[in-house]
Amino acid sequence: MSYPVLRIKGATVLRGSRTVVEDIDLDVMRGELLCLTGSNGSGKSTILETLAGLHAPRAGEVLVPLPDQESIPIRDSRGRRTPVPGLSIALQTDGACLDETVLERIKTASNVAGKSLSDETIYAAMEQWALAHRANDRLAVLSQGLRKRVSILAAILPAIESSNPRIILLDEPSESLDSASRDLLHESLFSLREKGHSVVIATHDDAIIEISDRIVEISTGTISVIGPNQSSNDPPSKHATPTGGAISALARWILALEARNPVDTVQRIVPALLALFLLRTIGLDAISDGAPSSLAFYVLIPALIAILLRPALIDRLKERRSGDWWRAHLGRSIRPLSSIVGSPWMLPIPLTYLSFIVFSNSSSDIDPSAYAWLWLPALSMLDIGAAATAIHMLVSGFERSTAVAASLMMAILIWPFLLLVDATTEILYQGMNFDIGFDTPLGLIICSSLIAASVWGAAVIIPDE
Amino acid sequence: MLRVPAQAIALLALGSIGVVATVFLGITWAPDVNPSQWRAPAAYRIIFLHVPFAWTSFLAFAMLFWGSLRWYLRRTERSWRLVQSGSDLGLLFGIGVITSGPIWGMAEWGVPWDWADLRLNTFGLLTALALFIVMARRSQPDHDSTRDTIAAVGLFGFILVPITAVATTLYQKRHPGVVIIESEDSGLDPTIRAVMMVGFVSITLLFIGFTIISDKLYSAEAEIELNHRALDEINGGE
Amino acid sequence: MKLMEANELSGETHLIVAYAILIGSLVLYGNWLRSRYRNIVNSRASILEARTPHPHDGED
Repeated sequence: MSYPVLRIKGATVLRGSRTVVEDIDLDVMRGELLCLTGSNGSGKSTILETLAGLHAPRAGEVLVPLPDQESIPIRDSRGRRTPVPGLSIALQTDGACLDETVLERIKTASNVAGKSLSDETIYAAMEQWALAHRANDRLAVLSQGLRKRVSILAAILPAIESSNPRIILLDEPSESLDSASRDLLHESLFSLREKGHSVVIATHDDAIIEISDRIVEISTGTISVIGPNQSSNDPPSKHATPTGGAISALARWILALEARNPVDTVQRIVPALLALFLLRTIGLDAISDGAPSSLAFYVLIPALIAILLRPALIDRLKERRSGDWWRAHLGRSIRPLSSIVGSPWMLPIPLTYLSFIVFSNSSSDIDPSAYAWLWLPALSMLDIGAAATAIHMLVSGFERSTAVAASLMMAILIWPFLLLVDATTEILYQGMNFDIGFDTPLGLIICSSLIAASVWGAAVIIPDE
Repeated sequence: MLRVPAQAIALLALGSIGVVATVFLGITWAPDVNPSQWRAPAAYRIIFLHVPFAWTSFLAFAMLFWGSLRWYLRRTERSWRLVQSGSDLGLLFGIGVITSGPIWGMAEWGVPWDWADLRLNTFGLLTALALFIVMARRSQPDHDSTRDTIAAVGLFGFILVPITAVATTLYQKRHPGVVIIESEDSGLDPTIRAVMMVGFVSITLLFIGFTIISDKLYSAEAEIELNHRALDEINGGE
Repeated sequence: MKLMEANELSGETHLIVAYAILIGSLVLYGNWLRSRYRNIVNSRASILEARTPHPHDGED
């Protein structure tokens, strides 16, 4: 006797304008190997990804059944969304940014699954899959077949090492694999099934189809299930899979990739420095003419330019659908989290001080203690940076995201910036004071941060996918 | 045969006549303002179209917002047509507001933009939102997922309206200065008010006529797209 | 007309430019609607031509 671990109920799913499946029902049972088969374009990947919560059905829902007719809604047409508990997934593309190393990829997948595996365990598994010699190589230098092995191992290793039942979704795992790896895959599938894990595979591989418990044939928008009817118990009470591991894994992933290839930092610093040096060459008259806000404006502008630019994180998440892999595990929390970790939090303070050094001798009225407090408005620029990153991520949801003008949505950030210019003007010419009011630096900085935080909140709260 | 409702044509005709009448009355009948109190006394007549444009753009943005919300919740074709027409008309009338306002501002106060003016900045923000949505609609494939993202951006844009209100109010406390738009409706001469009413009615009639026609056209274009897809399949599939 | 007597600072240029933009934008939009209408009429005609006449038409 088994029980359903995942259920599609009355779901109609579109890809683009095409209805892929219409009004289908499907249960994934505990401990079964379920195959999705069909011709190319029939909808195997779509159903698999719908099970993972990656596609919002036009009608119907995906849920995790619980005792007493309760359920956890994974995805439905009304916008409810929860990551599938105990999920591991290997997408048809790598689902990984190609700057990740093999070892990192597997470790990240394990941490996301809530399994903190030792290096020895991971190396032993990599040896078995003939990947150990490539442990510290980036995925970008590997062949398609090797990357496929990494993707599969990342999905199945947490389950192999886990005693709690998990759900593993594999999309065309045999593609690009050599015969030895295919044999290893088949052995692993047996082992996973024996341990009580549920495996759903979208595949053309006859060897996998043969060993499946049930086969789902997909054709012209409908499904037919071949295999014994599974009598079903009530599922046991839900046990929570911690997502804290997934959240910290995403943060580490973002930081590690930027440290390895600091594209984001460089593409922000360059225009900021260009602006700084151009202003130094051309714009000093305004400061020496005594316009009080000019110096503060020039001091803050390079940091503003740096924080408003499109983050490289968006391209990393689009590469090989790594963003979809993260979305399958994190659901909606990907945007708030990545907009904070992925924003340029290291740049505003150094850029502000650099600008101050470049411009400060243009004005003789500067308060001597000003330099000690410039970090405060610069720190508040982090909020503007997070809001800008969140806006970029909101508009990157388009299929052709390079064809939209995200800057049109940035205008709201002018006011927090203007308040910071006012605050900086006060600090530069009157010195710092810690009173809180609309005329004080601290009050202005707080107001600026609150406005930027509200914009950030609006941009992360509204789901778009 | 695509039939444009006769009422829509009539509304456009009446509205157009009304706009011409507004301009004519505004120039010839509305009184002069006191040249010693106004730097550019002739320029004040901009308000006879500027203010009705502002009112109408508000209607268009409301249509856009309502359509975004309805699409977000219900995903009906009718709600999507509201988004389409609302964004087009919001852009049309919004651009009118944010160009004519600064033109008057330059003439009268020498300042084209005031970051502390709540209405000007709200219209600016909403016009930018409308431009974004119009451009996105034209550049992206028309799928549910695109429409979902556009509706989400639309809702985001509208949450920004109260945030803008707070932001400009805070900024105005520090920089009271001259506020461009607010002066026009304090203590209005009855003649000026009368001309402005003619303007209001005319532009509103145009707006309603445009909305009806736009809705019809988008509906017909959607039907044509369905037919094209059916032809694609007959002629060899995707 | 009173406007003719005003000096250059009175803002007639600004008024003319503003009215030109406002009215011009309405005209442009109206023209755009009209061209879309024509496109729709032409598209419908070409769809009718392209469809293969068939006694069991209506399957799609």
